[in-house]
Formats: sequence, structure tokens, C-alpha cells
Amino acid sequence: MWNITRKNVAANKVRLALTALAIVLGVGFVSSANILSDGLRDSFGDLAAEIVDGTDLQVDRVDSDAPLTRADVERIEVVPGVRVAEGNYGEDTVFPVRPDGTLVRPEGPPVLAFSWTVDEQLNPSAIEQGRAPEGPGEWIVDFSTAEREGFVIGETYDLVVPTAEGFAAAELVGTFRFGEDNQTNGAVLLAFETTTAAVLLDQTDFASVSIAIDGTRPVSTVRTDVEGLFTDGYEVLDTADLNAETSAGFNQAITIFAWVLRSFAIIALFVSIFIIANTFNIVMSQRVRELGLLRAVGATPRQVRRAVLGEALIVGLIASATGIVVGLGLAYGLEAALNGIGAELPPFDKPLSLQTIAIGMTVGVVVTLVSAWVPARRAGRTSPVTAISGSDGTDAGSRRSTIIGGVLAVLGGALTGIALFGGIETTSTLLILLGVGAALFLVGITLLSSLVAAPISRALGAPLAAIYKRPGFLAKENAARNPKRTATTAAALMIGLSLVSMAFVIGQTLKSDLNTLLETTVQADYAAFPNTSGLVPESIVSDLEAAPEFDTVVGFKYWSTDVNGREGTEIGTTDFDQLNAVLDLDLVDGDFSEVTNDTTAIWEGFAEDNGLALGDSVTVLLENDTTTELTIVAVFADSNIFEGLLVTDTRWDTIGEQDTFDWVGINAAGDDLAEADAAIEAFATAYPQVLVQSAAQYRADITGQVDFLLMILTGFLGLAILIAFIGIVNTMALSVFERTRELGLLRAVGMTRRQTHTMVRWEAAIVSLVGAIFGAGVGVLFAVLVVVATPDFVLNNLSIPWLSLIALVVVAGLIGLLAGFMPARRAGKLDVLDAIG
Amino acid sequence: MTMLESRTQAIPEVVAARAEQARKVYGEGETQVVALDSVDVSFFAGEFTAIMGPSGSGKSTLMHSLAGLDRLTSGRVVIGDVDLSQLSERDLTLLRRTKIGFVFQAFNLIPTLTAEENITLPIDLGRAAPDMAWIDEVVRAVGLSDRLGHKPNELSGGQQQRVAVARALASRPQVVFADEPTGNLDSTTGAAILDFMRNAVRQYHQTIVMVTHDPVAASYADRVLFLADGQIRSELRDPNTDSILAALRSPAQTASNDSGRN
Repeated sequence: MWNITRKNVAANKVRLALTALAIVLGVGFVSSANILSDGLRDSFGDLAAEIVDGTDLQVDRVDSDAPLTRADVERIEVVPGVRVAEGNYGEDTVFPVRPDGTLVRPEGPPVLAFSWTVDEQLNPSAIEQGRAPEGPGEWIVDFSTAEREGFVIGETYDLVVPTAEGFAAAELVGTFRFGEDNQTNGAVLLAFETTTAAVLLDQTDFASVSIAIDGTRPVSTVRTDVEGLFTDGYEVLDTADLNAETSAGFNQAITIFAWVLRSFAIIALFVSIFIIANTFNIVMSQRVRELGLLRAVGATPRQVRRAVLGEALIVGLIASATGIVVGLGLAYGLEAALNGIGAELPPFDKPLSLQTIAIGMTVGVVVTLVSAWVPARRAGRTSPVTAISGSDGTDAGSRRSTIIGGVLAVLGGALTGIALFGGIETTSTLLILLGVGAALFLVGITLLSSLVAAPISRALGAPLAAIYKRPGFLAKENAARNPKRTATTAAALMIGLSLVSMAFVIGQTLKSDLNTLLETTVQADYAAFPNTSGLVPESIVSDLEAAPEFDTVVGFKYWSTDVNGREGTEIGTTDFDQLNAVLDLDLVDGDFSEVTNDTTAIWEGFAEDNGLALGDSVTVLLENDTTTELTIVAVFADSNIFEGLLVTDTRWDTIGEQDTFDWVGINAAGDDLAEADAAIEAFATAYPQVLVQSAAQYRADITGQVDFLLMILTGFLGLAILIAFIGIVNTMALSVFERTRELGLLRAVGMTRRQTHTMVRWEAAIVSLVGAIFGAGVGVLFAVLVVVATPDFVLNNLSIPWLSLIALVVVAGLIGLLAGFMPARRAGKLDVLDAIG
Repeated sequence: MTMLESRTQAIPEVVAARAEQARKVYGEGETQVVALDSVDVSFFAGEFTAIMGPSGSGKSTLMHSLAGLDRLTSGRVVIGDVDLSQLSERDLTLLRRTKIGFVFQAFNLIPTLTAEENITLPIDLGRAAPDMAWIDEVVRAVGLSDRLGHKPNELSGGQQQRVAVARALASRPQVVFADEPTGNLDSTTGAAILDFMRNAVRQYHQTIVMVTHDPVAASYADRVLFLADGQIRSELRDPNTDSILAALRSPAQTASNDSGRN
């Protein structure tokens, strides 16, 4: 008896540790997300405080059309109690150019250009070296950037600006310090004298007016008076309001970031539920005699249930506490990882708040208790008779769980369907519906999959019986003997891999859509489009046209306006005479050459949606708030480039504000692309604000970006996969323990250690493969739904990366082999005499 | 009762398995227990030997050591002409697979394998082609021809033990070791199994060593060895139930039981 107890304790030690590990990792990730967002929030909160410190009141434009001019500043300045008022400009569309022609442009943080506030109290910054900018052709930069980039005071540098010229040369006259210690969180700051800023930033109205009071009247009184100067469309904020507003802006970004991290943690915890539930289930069936005995001597089902839940509670508490500590370490790891992939996070503290601890403990304990709930109920229902008769430890998929599984799968599918096709506008509602729907669907599929887990395991293991003979055959039969256990263990892997495969399929679809676009629609040899801030200066088109290496250069401009009352309809202009040389818009009716100032070319889809045909008229809202009628003279089918109306340049000027290009198609003059390549290279250097690329470069660029995103996503989902891996180790270890006698018999009649290893490891591999195949299947299904649900210009023709999916399944098989390593060693080391005795 | 005395009885000629100065000690110092105390014994080819003795007499230890499941503290075990003490763990496993057959009291079969697969399991583990004619004969002899495709949970206890015996014989091992093979069976079913085992000895010249505490089971054997306190105390040839019971009641068997292993 002592022997059995000793074995039980030893087995439980491993079981408890492995069960806890799943929780530790999940809670750790949740905590690290909270720690990171708290830390970033504090860091940016300090920044916000520094920005607004010194500004007593600020007038903001709520309505972007409301004017805010020099005259308004003058009106404010005469309000009693106002010491000084200054109008501000600020944009993120100006970039300094390094002497080598490249842009100073960090990947994450912005480059902010603004007007230099003269009043020292109002200005959160102060001159560090040199002097403040005093007129046109002068600029200053924060001293950290100056040091890093080697900008020298007195030198003249080029700046990329959002004007038609695209460039401005300016002398660096000074450097400044932002706040106390220039803690800009990575942002690059530039400043100009106010009038210069208006020109370079292409602004007419101030973004805001900052006000300092002279202390003769209370802020609230001055505020009321200033408010009296303005009608609707403006708001007047005091320091506290400003701080809140600035922080809120930062916090929104941090919150999104934190929720991205949390969603991966939630997936990991969701996977943990399967692992823990499975572990408790197996252990309960192994302890059925003990439970039966408890029932026989008078324990009520409730008492037994509570005992089991109590065990879960202890595991949950210990694991959660450990998880929070691990989370602190993970926060540093995540910071390093995120910076490693180019996030450029500012330095920040890693505060362990009470809230983080409370959330971590609650989440961990609740997840453990939820996981143990069903096993605990089952344990409570143990019949006292089993104390004598025992049970064989297997539990075949019951009718009830099949029905529940079916209901959950259908319900989950329905919710997912509503989310994808129900026209839900709110992002949070959409995400919650999608998440809950997918979760229910996955649980349902898990319950249902126990129906087919046995035949699938046998099919997958069939080659093993041929390769490894009897040990292989036994591996296959062992995987198939307890379908519910195999299904649940595999489910953990299925969840992680379904998300990875979904991402793979969507990524592949993106890439193949891009290829289709480049092959069928784009005829141009090269294309130029905005690098960052949406500005391709007009001069580049004339420069390109003048270059002998190029033949046709066609620019495209996009805008949106109301057409037939439809808000936000795309409208664009291009050179219709040369259009065909760079783009094949797939004309289905009419002729592009007939487009005049009173006519338009229209996308087929828009025409169909609005019941329009060739010869009909559309009503277009103009910039001056009047409308005009345009007759449809051409209909085109291609939707990859453009889904709306095309008009002439002259007509465009009455509709859109924008006078820069969004896209420029370029054809080489001769067949020799080598010369053109060199010229394109030169243009790319001359216009750092523009990306000038060949179709191949563009393709490689986008493909690289998609692959990079897939890599990051897979990396984060790696946690869920790691937990699934732990689950396989756990289940296999428990199965080995459960089959001690059987293993002893096998060893006695001549199974070698190596054969025992083979048998156990391949069983783990089969379980893993079952999960991987279900995961890939569900992932493809999810991806199909997403592709169908999203508009065609985002995702059009489904493309499935079979090779990647097969590689994924193979890797999962290897993971299984690895997961089986430790249990296999245990099985091989088994003392034959102990096992059969 | 020494080996020499056994030899004088002349019927068996070839030694299938033997233990020489077999000593097995568990624990150390104060808690040291001597399970086998310098046992010398031979088992002859084509003979059915029963080993009897009270709990803790060392009969299981003796059998496990002979069968290559356990290693001696000193002395040696020889199966055929192979000295087990010289074998590596792997070679010992291969020896069990090819030279030794096992029948245990319970849990003899792998639940995921059919009766036939269980019978051929040791052969299949070795990847050698089974001698189908021989296996057919064994299967027919145990009366399992119509049960071959069944899983163990579809067989009765008696049928399961018959499958186990068939498996033990399937590879024509040098020795079959049976540990209380009828301990979990009713007397009628048990008798059938024992009959079959005796037949295997008579008909196929199989060597069988059986550990039992049941005098009726032991009476099927050609020879009964009585163990107590890790030593062979006496031996009977061509026993019957009465002679076994008489031997068990003799002072040599009951003496110093209190010093035995628990």
C-alpha cells in the first residue's frame, strides 16, 4: 500500500507542477501586459504633464473647419487677465533629411514639427544651444536628435515638407530641450518660427491657441470670458483638461497595445483550460477507487466535489502567485522582444500594481476552478461500488457530450457568422462576438472531435505500425484507446495552430491578391507612392517626365466626397490619354477618352450598387458645398486600384483639396530596364518622402511585411502552443502512470527500453498530429470566412499555402515527439518488478 | 535436499535453467532482509516444476531472478547456456523475449491487442516471422481458434489465461515461468489451464516452472520444491495433493517462518 501511495505522490508532484505551469504562463503573460501598459502609461503621463505644464488655458478647434486665426489670438489677448496668447501649429508631416539624402524617421515614434512658442512659460521646451528660430529658412531640433544624427548648428539642411515643392532648405540655428530632461519617448521634435511654420506645414489656421494668465483674475473667470469669444466648434480647456486630454490620447494607444498583448494571454489561458480540465479528469479516473471509498464511507457528492475543487483552488493560488512574479520577468523580456522587432519603446518602469496582482490572482484561480468544475462534478458522482470494482480508466465519448458539442459548435458558428456578416459597426462588439463565437466553436469541435479521434489516430498511426512494427502499432492503438483524452489534449494544440494557420492563409491571400493586382492591373514598370505622410510632390512627375529613361508618367490622385448622397465615395483623377499605358482598369463599357469636365468614368460595382448605367447622371458634392451632375461615359471593372469615380483634373480641382499624388505609374522608355533602374534609384534618393519601386521591389516589400507580421503573430501564439506542449507532456505522463502494469508486462515479455520509448513518443506525436490537423482545418475554415466577409479590395481570392500548412503539421508532429520524450523515459525506466507486482 | 539428490532420480537429463549459490539481499544493515539464501537449484528440460512456500519464503524472488526480471546480489542464473548475470539490460530483455515465456496471475494481456496479437507479441517485438504452424497448433490446443480476433475485455478470465499460456508457448521458449496462473480463476477453469500446461510439457517437451501456494495446482507438476526463509527445504517428485499437504505440514516447512521476509 505504501508503494502505491509513494507512486501517487510522485505522480502528483509532476502533475501538479505541469498543471500549474500552464496557469503560471497564462497569468504571467496577462500580468506582463498589465505591467507594460502601467509602465508606459506612467511614462507617457509624465510626458503629458510636461507638455501642458505652464499653459493655463487653451482654445482648441473641435470642428476642423472652424477658423482660428491671428485675429482670434488678438481678441483673446485683450481679455482681462490674459497675459499672453500664442497660436500653435503642429503636424507630423515634416522630416529632416540627412546629408546622405535619407530621412530621419523612426519606425515607431513620430516626427513632430511645430511652431516655436515664444513665451517661456507657455513653452514646455527651452533653447539648449544656439538660438530660437526667428524667420524663414531657420529651424531648430531637440538636442537628443541633434546629437544622435550629428546635426550641426549653422549648417543648412533639407527638410521634406507637405507643400507642392516637397522640399525646403533651412539653417539649423539652435537645439532645444523638451521639459526637464528631453524625455521625448523617442519622438523627434522640430520647431520653426510661427509664420514659417504656417508655410512649411501648409496650414492656414492655428491648431490651437495657448493662453497664460497674469494672475489678476482667477482662471475660471478668464475661461468664461474666452469662451464668450467663440461660438460652437471650439472648446476652451484648462491645465487639468489638457492633461487629461493629452494623457487620454496616449492612453488610447497604450490600451490598444495592452489589449493586443492581453488577447494573446487570453488565448493562452483558454488553451490552459483544456489542459487543466484534462489533467483533473485523468487524475479523477485514476483515483476512482479512492473516491469510491470516500463515497462508501459516507462522503456526500458535494463533499467529494468540494475536495476536488479545493485541490484546484490550491493549485490555482500557488500558480497565479508564481505567474505574477514570472510576469514581472516577462515584462522585461517582452520589452526587449518588442524593441527587438523595432517597436522603439521609451524606457519605462515596471510597476507591479495592486490591480495587476488582483487581476492575475483572480484570472488564474477562476481559470483553474472553471477547468476543474466538470472533473469535480464527475468525481462527486462516483458510485461507492467503484471502491470495490474499480474502473478501467477509460471514458468513451458519451452521447451527452456529443450533443453539447454540436450545440456549442453551431452556436459558436452562428455568433461568428453574425460578427462577420451581420453588419456590426462597433469594433469592440465585433471583436467580442468573434472571440466568444470562435471560443464556443472550438469547445464544440473539441467535444465532437472525440467521435473521430480514434479513427483519425489509427489512420495517422498506420504508417507507424509498418515502420516500427508492434511498438508502432501499440502507439497508434494507445492514441486511439481513449478518444476523449486524445481529443482534449489535441484540442489545446488545435486552438493555437488554428490561429496560426488562419493567419497563414490570410497572409497568403494578401500576397496572392497583390500578385494578381500587379500582374493583371498594373502595367507600369515602376510606381511611386507616399513614403509616410501622404505626399508625392507634383515636381516629381515633371522631373520623371523630363528624364530620358522614362516614357510614360501617369499620376493618380484620390479623394472622397458624396456621390448621389453616398458619403465617402472614392473619387480620383488621372491622365486619361496615357492611363492605359500604366493601368488596365478593365473597361467594360464606354470610353475613357470621352471623360470631360461634365462626364465621369465609374467603377462597375458602384454602378451596380446604385442602379447606374452608361448615360446616367450622378450628383457629386463639390468643395464649395454645391453639387454638380456628371454623365457616365465609361464603366470599368477592376476594383483593386479604385472603387469609385474618375474625373478630369479640372473637375477634380473643384472637388478635392489635395494637390499631391497618391500614386504615380512610370514606364521605362526602352526595353533596357537596367538604365531605368539606375534612374529610379536616383529618384528614390532625391525624393526620400516618396517610395519609387519596381513591381518586383514592391512585391518583395509587401511580402516581407506580411511575413514579418505572420512571424510576430506566430511568436505570440507560441505561448499557446507551448502550453499545449505542456498539456501533451502531462497527459502522456499520466497515461504512462496509468498503464504501469501494462508497460511492466510489455517489458517482461521482451519489449526493450528503446521500443518502449518509440511507443510512448509516437503516441504523443499522434495526439499532436490530431491537434495539428484539426487546427489547420479549423484555421482554413476561419480564414475562408474572413476572406468572404471582408471587402474584395482587402482580401479577394482565397489562396491556401498548402506547403506552409503541411510544414506546420510536420512541426507539430515533431513537437509531439519532443513532448513524449520525458514520459517515454519514465516508461522506459519503469522497474518491471514494481510494475507487475 | 541438494541438486545431487535430484539427479539420482534419473528421469530428466538436460538442465533448462539453474541457479547457483543464488543470493538476494534487500536493504542494508539493521533492516537487511535475505530473500534468497545461497540457493542451488536446477530445472530440467521437459519437466513441470512447481515452487511452493509461504509468503516471504523467497519463491517469487527466485522465479523473478530465474526469469531475468530481477538481478541477484550474488551467485548466478543460467538459462540454457547463457549466464544472466553477464547480460546487459538490453540483452536480458532480448533473452526474455526469445528464451522465456511468462504467465502472470492477472493482467497478462495488452488491452489494445487482440488475442492473436497478444499471443504473437513477443515474436512481433522481435520482428521475426512467427512459426505460424506452431502457433496454430498452440491456439488449437488451448481452444481459442474462434476467439483470436477478440480483445481481452471480450474474453472471460479463463480465456484470458489461456491466451496468456498460448503466448508463453508461442516462441517455443527454453522455460515458461508461471506466477500463480490460476490464482484468479475458479477451480474448473483453473484445472483446464493446468491440464493444458501439463500437456505442453508432455506433448511438446516444454519446460515450465510455476510458483503457487495452491496444493491442487502444484499437484499437476512433476516435481514440487518447497521454499522457506530463502532456502529450498524439501522436494517432492510425482506429487499428489495429499503428499503436498503432508509436506507442507512437516516441521521443516513451518520452522522459523517468523524470520521470513514480509
